[in-house]
Amino acid sequence: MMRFVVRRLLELVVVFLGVTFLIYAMVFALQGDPIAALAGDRPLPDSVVRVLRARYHLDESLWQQYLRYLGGLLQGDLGTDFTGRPVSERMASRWPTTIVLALTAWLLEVLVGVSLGLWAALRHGRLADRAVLLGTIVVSSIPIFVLGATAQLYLGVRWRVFPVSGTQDGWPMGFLLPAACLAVFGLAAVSRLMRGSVIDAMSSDWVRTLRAKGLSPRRIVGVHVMRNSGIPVLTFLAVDLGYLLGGAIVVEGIFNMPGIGQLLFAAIRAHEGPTVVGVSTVLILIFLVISALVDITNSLLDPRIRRDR
Amino acid sequence: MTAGHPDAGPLLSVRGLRIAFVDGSHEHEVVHGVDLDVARGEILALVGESGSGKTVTALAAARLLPGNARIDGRVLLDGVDLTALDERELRSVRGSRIAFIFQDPAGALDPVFSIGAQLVEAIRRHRRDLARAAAREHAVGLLDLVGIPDARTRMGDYPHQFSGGQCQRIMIAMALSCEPELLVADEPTTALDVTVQQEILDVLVDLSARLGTTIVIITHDMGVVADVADRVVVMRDGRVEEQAEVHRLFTAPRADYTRVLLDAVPRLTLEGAGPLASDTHDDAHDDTALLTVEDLQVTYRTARGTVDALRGVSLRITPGEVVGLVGESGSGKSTIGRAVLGLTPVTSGRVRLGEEDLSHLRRARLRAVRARIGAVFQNPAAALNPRYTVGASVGEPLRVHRGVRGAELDAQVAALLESVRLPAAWARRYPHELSGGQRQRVAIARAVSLRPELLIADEPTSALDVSVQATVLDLIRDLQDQLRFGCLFITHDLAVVDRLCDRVVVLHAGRVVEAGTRREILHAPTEDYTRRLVAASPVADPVEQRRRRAARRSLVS
Repeated sequence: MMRFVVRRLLELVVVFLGVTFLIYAMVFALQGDPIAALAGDRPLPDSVVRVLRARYHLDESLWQQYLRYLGGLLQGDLGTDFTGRPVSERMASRWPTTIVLALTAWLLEVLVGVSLGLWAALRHGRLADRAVLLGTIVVSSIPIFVLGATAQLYLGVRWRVFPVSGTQDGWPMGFLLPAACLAVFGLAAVSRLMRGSVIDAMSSDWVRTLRAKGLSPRRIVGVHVMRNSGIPVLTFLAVDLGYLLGGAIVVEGIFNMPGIGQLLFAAIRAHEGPTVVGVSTVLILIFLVISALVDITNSLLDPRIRRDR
Repeated sequence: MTAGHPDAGPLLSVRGLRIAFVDGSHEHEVVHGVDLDVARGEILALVGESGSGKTVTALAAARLLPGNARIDGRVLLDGVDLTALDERELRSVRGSRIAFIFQDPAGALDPVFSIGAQLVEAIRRHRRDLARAAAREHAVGLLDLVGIPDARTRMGDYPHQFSGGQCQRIMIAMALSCEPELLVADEPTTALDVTVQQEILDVLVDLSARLGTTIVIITHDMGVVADVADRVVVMRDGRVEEQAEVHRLFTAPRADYTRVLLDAVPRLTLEGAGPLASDTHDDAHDDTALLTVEDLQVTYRTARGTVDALRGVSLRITPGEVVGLVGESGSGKSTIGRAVLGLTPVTSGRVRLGEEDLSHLRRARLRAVRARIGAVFQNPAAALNPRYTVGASVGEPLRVHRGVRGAELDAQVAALLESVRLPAAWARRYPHELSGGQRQRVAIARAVSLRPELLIADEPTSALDVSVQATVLDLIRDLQDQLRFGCLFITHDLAVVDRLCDRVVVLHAGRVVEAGTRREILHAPTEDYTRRLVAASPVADPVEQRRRRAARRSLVS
């Protein structure tokens, strides 16, 4: 078990280095000069540009910049943007919004997705099952900006059930609508995954054994099937949490929420390399840590994954 | 076995049982009015081929069938009609009064709970007053009883950490946990090796004697029936064909179908009577070897490390000779077949077909050499492309290797189908329209389409019913007589070897244990392992089986 954890953490480090380098390279290759963007309409004198470039190490090669960045990262420094403010400081004010939004969406996926999937599976082949299947396809094929804007129009403007935009109403009212829009896609996937794996489990030989033991359907489903079917669903849910944190850009835009996604979007448009890299790094780190945790939890749930016992 | 209550009526009594599966508006009846009794303390064998309704009948007794099954008739357990009980009442019967063990023991246990947890759960389901610690003690005792070593320390282990035979022992322990009156064992040893099968059957017979448990054993294997049963019910197409005491059934079967079933059983002629195939084939053999395997080693790399599948195996097949390769699962017998076909990388050693060294050939050359080897595998459903017609499958080797096309191809395919006794017109059918035995004939037709010098047959009959198995074996024998190919026949079944092979090679743990003529191996084995293998393979003769069981018991005590 210990070896499994160590190996998994080593993998994490390798992937982290690879992906951050990739992001760094892409930002490096981004068109446009950040110093020029900073200066606005009036061109700066060459000498000033040279000094600024040296200060932000823009004159160095990609490798040098990347290694310098990694060095800073090891000391907990995410870099500074071109106005001299630390990137971590700029993110700090944005995180709560994004985290609350993502967690709300995630909670909806867990509660609604899992129960919908389970409900459909236990009514396999009947009307309820087909309705869930069809419904999840329809809902997940609507583009998120159409869904978001429509929900905003009806539930926000016309019927006034939820606030139209912004976070001033706080949790839960201010977050429910954007979270629901954000969750829709994952929710459909979770319910389908749950449905499939419960159906598989229910037709397995070991469920027949449990019935032959005289166990009640409640215990068979609640204890045995849930633990077996929960493994793939849990994997998906955990990976999806990372996606929800980083993928809120569009929803944050539609509902005008001051989150990380908005910051990232603005930074990309302004060629603010350090901010883009800093935000991406944190998102990647969250994503990687979550998936490592999932693998470790999975191996606790499923003894067959613990290979080297 | 002595009956518990000699005066009381039968323990289980089935009257007019009809079972149908409902699919939409369509209803398909599979059991058409079955009557049978199970007496207290007896071991009743329910025998029949696939589709006979034997398993469905037994599962229906405890209403364990899927939701779309409709059950009519009565099932009386000790006079109480189980079909009249509601789900809740029935649940208190399942596991406590009627217990089950199933065919695939590894799949029948929940993979993500420890076996201890599963045993304790079964115990506490019906004995709620028992504390958890006491239930654990009881579980350890049960594991001891069924012969799991270090029962206490293994309680925390998971199903995948046990072998198939051990999983079946655990299933038996679980089934016995609430001291049921009736134990239903559905093909309990079909997925297991013969020596393991013997151990499991011994456990069952022993428990029935010690605890007085009544057992219904469902099987298609007449050897198993002869070994354990007191009484036999023969089923066919959802009806009971015959019920009889076991000795009477084997000596004087009344129903025609029972006779067919008994005749189809491949028998190990233990006393060595009858003509030997090698006697009639000796003239065909010359000394130039067709297939030579020299010091073959195959090592697989897995996540846990390396596994030595073959540790230096040598064997020879001369032209026209049928060599049986026997061994239990994991012995490496299939690996040899795969290595000869070039489907498994060879770690060291040589495989030669005639003068050609297969282990070091380049791809293109290997493909050409493969045209000289035919192959038939265990599962014909998986070995045929489901989207190809039978004709396309059979004709493919001719098209690829010989470039035969059009009417010429059709004619050759027709001739091949007729040679395996299938109508030529079936070339247009698809595999799913055929039965298992017919599909295997198609696979055989394809294997011999290029007139191979060597045929590799890897358990070609073990997925088939006995009566079908017999006809497929006869077919291979006949084709071999006509075409004179050498044959490597891989099987776990010694009776099949007895029917078909000239020479036998016994494999164990990746090494050749013993090799010789069929007569030598089956009737005068010199190695202990071979002896155990021969003794463990049950023969369809209740008298012989009881003699052997008595001999084993005297050996133990």
